[in-house]
Parts: sequence; structure tokens; C-alpha cells
Amino acid sequence: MAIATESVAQGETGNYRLGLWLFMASESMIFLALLAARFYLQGTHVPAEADQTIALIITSILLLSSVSAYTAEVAYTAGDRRLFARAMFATIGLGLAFLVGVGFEWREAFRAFPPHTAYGTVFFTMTGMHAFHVVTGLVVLGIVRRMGTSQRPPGPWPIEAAVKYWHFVDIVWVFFYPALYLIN
Amino acid sequence: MPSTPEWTAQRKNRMESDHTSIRRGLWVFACLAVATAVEFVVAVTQIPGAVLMILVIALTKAWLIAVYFMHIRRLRGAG
Repeated sequence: MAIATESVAQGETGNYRLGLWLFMASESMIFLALLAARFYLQGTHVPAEADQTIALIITSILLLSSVSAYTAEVAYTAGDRRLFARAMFATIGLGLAFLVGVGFEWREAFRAFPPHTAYGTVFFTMTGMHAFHVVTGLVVLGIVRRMGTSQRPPGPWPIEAAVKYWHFVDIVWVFFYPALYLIN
Repeated sequence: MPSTPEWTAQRKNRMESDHTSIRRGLWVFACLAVATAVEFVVAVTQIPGAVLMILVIALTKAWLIAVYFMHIRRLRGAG
């Protein structure tokens, strides 16, 4: 009976996992459309004013946040709630630092290539859409951190799902960063 | 709280596997950091074929994240 219940639970998690991947695949279409628009409108042109330093810093911050999110997931699965809480806190902090970096980037970009220019349009749409996903990711991470540190913590799936979504946001930036700053 | 030798051994194994996973995560991060640095240098130096190289590096980074951080292989057990 216990084995049967466990098997059903695993099957359900498998379905949830598949659903999440399908959701991320559908989200990818939006980002692919934005990438296509960027190259259609501007080719491989990148303005000289694009701030390479800030871009490199925020890229490193986001990659680092993926490691802390991964650590949080591993710690939660292993039952180490203390490490989970700390790693999740670090992930949220790094995500906020990324958003601050994007804010600095935007301040410079408004002067260098305003939104009414062709490059400005693609730049603000792409970074804006990505930043929106970062914000929603941070909200979800905040919720699961609270759930995971509560008196009655849930099973591993909510944490796995939130962390996967965070990695997805990271993967999007892996393609946006070269498209907006490096390919010239 | 059980304290049999068997339970202690199980706990030790779990902690070791936990540490191994975290160490692997740090290795993946190191690879991602190196790949990003290479990507940056390739873009700045504008060597021939830079666009293709940057694309290959970006795909490799995405693959590393999907396989090691997102455990895409677990999808095989879905359904």
C-alpha cells in the first residue's frame, strides 16, 4: 500500500515536472521572438555606448544566483533547512542585485539610445521583459523560502519548481547577454 | 531520535552525497564563469568567426544549466 502511494506521488511529480517544462518551452517562444526582432531590426549592430562592464557584472551575478538556488534545492532535499534558508536568502539577494544593475544600465541607456530609437526599442523590450521574469521569479522564491522554513514544510516539488524557473530565467539571459552586448 | 550505527551510517552517506552535489554545482559555476570570460574576450578582440564562437559558447552554457542545475534528464521519468 505504501509502495503504491509512493508510486502515485512520483507519477504526479513527473506530470508536474513535464507541465513546468512545457510552460518554460512556451515562455521560450516569447524570448525567441524578441531575439528574432532584435536581429531583424538591427542585424548584429551594437552601439559603442552599450556598457560592457555593467553587463558583465550583472551576468556574473545571475550565474552566481543559479549556484545558490541549486544549493538551496540540494539542501532542502537533504533535509538541511538551515542551509536551504541561507542559500535561498543569497539567491533572492543576488536577484535583487541583478535588478539594481539593470536599473543602472537603463539610466545609461536612456541617454545613449532612448526607447524611440530602433536599438533602444529592442534593448528596453528585451531587458524589460527579462527583468519582469526576474521579479516574478523573486516573488516565487520568496514564497517557497517562507514555505520551506515554516513549521510544516512541504515536499520537495514546490522548491524544485521555483528553482527550475529561476534557472530558466538565467538561461534566457545566457542568450540575451551576447545578443545585446557582444555580437557586433 | 534514533542513534543506531545503521542510522548514523545512512546520515553520513546522505551528507556526503549532499556535499558532492554542492561541489558539482560549484564546478559547473566555474565552467560557466570561464565560458563567460572567453565569450567576452572573443567579442572584444573581434577575431574571425566570433559570432559563431559566441553562439556555440552560449549554447554550451545553456546546456550546462539545463543538465546539471535543472536536471532535464529527470524528464524521462515523467508521466
